Amino acid sequence: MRAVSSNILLDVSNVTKIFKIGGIYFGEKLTAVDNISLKFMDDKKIILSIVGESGSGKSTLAKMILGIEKPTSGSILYRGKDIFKLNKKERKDFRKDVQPIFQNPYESFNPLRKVDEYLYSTALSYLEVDRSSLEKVIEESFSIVGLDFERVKGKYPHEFSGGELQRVAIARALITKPHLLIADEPVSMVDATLRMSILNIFSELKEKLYSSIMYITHDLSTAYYISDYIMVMYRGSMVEYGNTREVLEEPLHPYTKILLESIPKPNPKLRWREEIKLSGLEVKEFEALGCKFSNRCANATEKCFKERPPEIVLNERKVCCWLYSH
Amino acid sequence: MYVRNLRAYYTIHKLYSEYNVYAVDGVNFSLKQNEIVGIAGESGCGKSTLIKVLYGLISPPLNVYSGEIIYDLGNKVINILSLGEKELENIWGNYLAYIPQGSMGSLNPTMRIKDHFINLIKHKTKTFDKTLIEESIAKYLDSLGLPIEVLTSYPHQLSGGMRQRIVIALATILQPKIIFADEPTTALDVIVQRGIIQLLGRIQKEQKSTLVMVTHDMNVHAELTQRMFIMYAGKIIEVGSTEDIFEEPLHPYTYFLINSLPQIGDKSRKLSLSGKPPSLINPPPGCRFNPRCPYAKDICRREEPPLRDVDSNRLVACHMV
Repeated sequence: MRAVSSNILLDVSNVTKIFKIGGIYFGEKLTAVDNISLKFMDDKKIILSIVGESGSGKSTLAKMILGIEKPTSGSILYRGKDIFKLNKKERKDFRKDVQPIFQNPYESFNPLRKVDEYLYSTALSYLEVDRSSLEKVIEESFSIVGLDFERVKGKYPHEFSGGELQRVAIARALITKPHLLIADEPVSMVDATLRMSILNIFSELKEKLYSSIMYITHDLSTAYYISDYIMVMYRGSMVEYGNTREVLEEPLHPYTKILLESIPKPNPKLRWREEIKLSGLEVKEFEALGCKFSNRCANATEKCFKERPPEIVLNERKVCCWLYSH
Repeated sequence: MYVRNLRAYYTIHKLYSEYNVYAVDGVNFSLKQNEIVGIAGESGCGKSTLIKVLYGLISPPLNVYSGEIIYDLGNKVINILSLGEKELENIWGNYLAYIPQGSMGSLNPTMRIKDHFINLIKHKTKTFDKTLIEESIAKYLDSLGLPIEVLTSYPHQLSGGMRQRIVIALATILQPKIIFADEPTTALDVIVQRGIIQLLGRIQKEQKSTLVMVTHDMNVHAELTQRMFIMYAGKIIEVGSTEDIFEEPLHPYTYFLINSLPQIGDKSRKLSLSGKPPSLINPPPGCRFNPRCPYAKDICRREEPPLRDVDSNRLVACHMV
């Protein structure tokens, strides 16, 4: 039993996060993340994409996994231990193993500090190395992201382009040799012609078995490009999960379908034909009694408005929709 | 409308020195009535500066060093660079509309949506009959397929996509001849983005105006525009119909813009261009793309390629084509 559980690096089970907005007495509740479960194994490296629009709860989920937000219910176990109840040594191990990469690299670095200082301090505080082998460790992680550490030394964040600085941020995260990277929209600030350099680093990290990656994005096409598995979220709930190729090539949930259809294609001959309906006020959907997508769904029946759809398992896929419950 | 040899630079003063950022550097083109034109390029290529200048929004540190921007407004022909403040006021909103980047945050949070419209119409048309104004607002929103209820809401009660559609309705209610839209769909979700693109297309079609769409997202161009200008480091490097450009991009940079991003259904490995866009303070000599171009030869490093005709309605600035 013990051997099996130690294989699991991170076990997120049934986490829910409820925010209270407004006053103490008349405040409203907003369920930002609703009953989400996922797992990362130690011996199998994967890239899992979490996709959704703004307000789908994908960033809140990342914050909970990093230990920045505490879930209202559910648990997050790191090697079998609750991440909010770790002792000092365990917390250090957790931080070493699970590293974040944020959306805006200019915000993750202090503009008044040279970037190499971050690299040295990360290495010194997490690794038991002496000064002499420090350089070597840092150089190693820079070679993975395709940058030359010598050229980074002594520079300030503003001297880099967004794409380069994001690569420095990844190199910093790699110094501790993490087993899991939590990357929240890591390429949305980076120019189109440079975006692929970062995504290719992620694929390489996984292929060389350095690290698993939780790739959080709103962009389905980059998720398709790099990830093995995908979870589509809508208003805090999971609507569909499975192998990326299967989910995006043959989507089951009506929401995934409309999301895919709405991506403009790089071919002027394949334009949209129908006009789309948009809702004006969207806050209510979070607290919808039934399926949160029912208001906008073309296939919605009475049941969809009244009852939450169950999680239906079809082979390796999961979909939360009444359409598939027979 | 046409633009000749436009140069617009940002002049930066530093203690004892002064230097220019060559944001728009020698640009020539023309716009026709009733067409949708797209301007594409990466951040920092000068596309936003270009439409700011076209709209006449020129204030230090932005200066225009040379060129003319001629509009034929039907009853008169004007050069927007020689107009005074009063004349510009009259042209803005009535003839030219500008939807700046991030404009959905520009609605006044203490004013109902309705009052935004009323203020604008009173100010621009000097009509003061309130019932008449309100009627025309409701009619216009209805024709765009927007719910009338939003008129009595405050901006914070609306979703981002709805606010963006309100801003577009505000900019176009006076039926301007040319609409300049700067990244109107950036930071919006794909489904909302689709709604905005379709709304802009619908307005252009109904009013038979000219829509100039600036965005870095090539897929949006493929969806909406008829003709495209590709910009790189302050210059226009390729012009053509959207179909031609996607079918056969001539400039290597255009090719990378279209083919560098992954598409669903295509798992092939994509590579990034090496390097980064040049600094506009001291751009490289010769072709500005040469340090990143895989096909660059000696001539590309020495001589700047002119934007020349290769076909009818097709222009490209590259020595190798």
